[in-house]
Amino acid sequence: MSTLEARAVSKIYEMNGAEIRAVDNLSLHVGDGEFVALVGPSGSGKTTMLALLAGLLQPDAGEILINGNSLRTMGKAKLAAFRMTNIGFTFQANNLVPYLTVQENVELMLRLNGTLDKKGRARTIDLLRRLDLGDRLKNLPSQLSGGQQQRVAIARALVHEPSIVLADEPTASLDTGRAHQVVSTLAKLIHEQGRAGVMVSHDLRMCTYADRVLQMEDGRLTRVLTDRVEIDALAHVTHAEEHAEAVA
Amino acid sequence: MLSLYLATKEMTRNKRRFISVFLIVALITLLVLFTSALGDGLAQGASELFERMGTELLVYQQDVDFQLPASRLGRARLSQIRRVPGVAAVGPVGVSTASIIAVDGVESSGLDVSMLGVEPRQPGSPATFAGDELNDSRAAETVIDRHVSERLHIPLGATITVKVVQGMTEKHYDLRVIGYAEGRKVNFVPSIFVPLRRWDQIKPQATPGGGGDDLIFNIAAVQLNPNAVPLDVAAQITATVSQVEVTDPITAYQTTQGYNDMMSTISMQQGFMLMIVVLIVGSFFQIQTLQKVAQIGMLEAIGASSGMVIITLLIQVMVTLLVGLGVGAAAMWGMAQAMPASVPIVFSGSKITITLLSLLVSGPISCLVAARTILKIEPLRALGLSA
Repeated sequence: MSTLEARAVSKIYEMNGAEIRAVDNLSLHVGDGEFVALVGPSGSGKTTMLALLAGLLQPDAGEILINGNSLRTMGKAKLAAFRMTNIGFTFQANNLVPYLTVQENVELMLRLNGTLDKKGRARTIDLLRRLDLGDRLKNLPSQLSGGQQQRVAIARALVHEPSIVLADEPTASLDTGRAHQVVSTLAKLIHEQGRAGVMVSHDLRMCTYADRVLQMEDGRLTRVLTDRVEIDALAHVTHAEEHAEAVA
Repeated sequence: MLSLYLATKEMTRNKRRFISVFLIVALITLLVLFTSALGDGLAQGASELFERMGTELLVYQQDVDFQLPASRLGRARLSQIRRVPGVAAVGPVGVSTASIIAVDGVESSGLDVSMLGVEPRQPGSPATFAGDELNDSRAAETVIDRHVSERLHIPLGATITVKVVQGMTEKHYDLRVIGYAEGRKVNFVPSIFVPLRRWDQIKPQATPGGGGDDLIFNIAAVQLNPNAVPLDVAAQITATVSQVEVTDPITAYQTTQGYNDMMSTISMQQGFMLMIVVLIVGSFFQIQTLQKVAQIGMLEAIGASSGMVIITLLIQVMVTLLVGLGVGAAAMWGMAQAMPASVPIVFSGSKITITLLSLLVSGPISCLVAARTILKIEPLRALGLSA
């Protein structure tokens, strides 16, 4: 059964009188336990697509379904409540509430949907320990590195056991080592917990952790890679190209 | 409640920032209340004699534009006024100046006072809140007002020495303090009340010893019978007593030279001050809220409702304002206690309420305006992740 589905979705912006099709008639589906990477150059429409999948934007055409529920029919308040229980979201920046500790930031999701209890608290601590943040529970975000902050955001995106996990450029501000650590952890948890995960990234090297890679250009889906060899090749080529550039 | 949780966490984890905000609000409150109290104190100094006279009408000499020092009335007119239907009692009020130079023989720093001559037990004679009222028309006794008692700390029963100039000579007269009256400044100068006959002897004059049988005073204070209509009685007095004009105490001080100019200056100053401060406090909270765009965007993106976000912001603003206003008002009270009695500070309940309410309302309104702006922005844009 498909957990996340986009049916012929379009999003059009108007800029200086010109019509820009940020997402153009795009369809996709992501199943349980599947981790999909949405890649493409800047301005290809991948962040817009992620926002549409999360219900943060309404499509001008088409519809988004999560577990069979169409987001189009939901009002703002219902959509917020739906997002709170069904979607886990990480952003590339401004991820955490600056005045809450690591543990409180993760527990915030449980407080939001009213499920913070003893079990929820234990799950929070367990999740943070698995993300190597067991000794950072009482730290504030300002006391963490960028990678640690992203891992806290991942814990927060997963702690309320959503069916969908969406990650927007989770490695944007990280060095290569940290980036691999963050995305591999995210992929591992998505697979283990059977969530449907979508990651937007401009960093093709991170595709190596995805089950499927969707390449976007000018709002359209231009390529879909499902073969492991092809995916690893894409990630490896990128890595090789970057290495060559660095040497040159 | 999640809003309360978030609001409390932010305030406790950013103590220094919130304490700074509390202090700013407190200082602003102190500034507004203090300038307002000073303005009201100044205004009261021009009106309190008339406001506290306890009479319905005041009779002046004709054509002096109700200027107290310029008016001259004699005993004959007092008798004529007393005969007018509707008049219950009439009392003379004479105004002059003096300086208190000693208390119980001990030289004091000197205090200029208004020395008012009044007929004991008649309109114009002040009620006392401690000690006795004036009783004997010739006694060397005085009732001093609160301002004098507070500034010179004169005990009841003490003897004060007043200095006046009569002719070319400086004269000193002793008066025993028998009671304290509420403040009755005349043209911002505190007052002492002396029985009329004694006043006539000791007031500044060309020749020492008083004006003889024809006792001259400045105005007549008129009390009416319970059912009398002030306007009708005033018209009858004007018609039957020659060369007098009648007014009520409020009009009397409002027509004092410079009073209206002073009041419009004070009102304008208080109004502008309040308006500026309300705008400052409002802008302050608006900016503080706008600085949270990314945080609000993130909360919305993970599923927090707009209502929850707004309540969180409002709780912080209200707590900040209530603590700040409370500290400011308490500081104002403390400062007023510490101020010397010569500084005219009067707390007006209505003005304090208006000031505090204006500040209390401006913060949440500005916060709501800013929050509305932020909540209109798509969460991704608020997060800086332009779609």
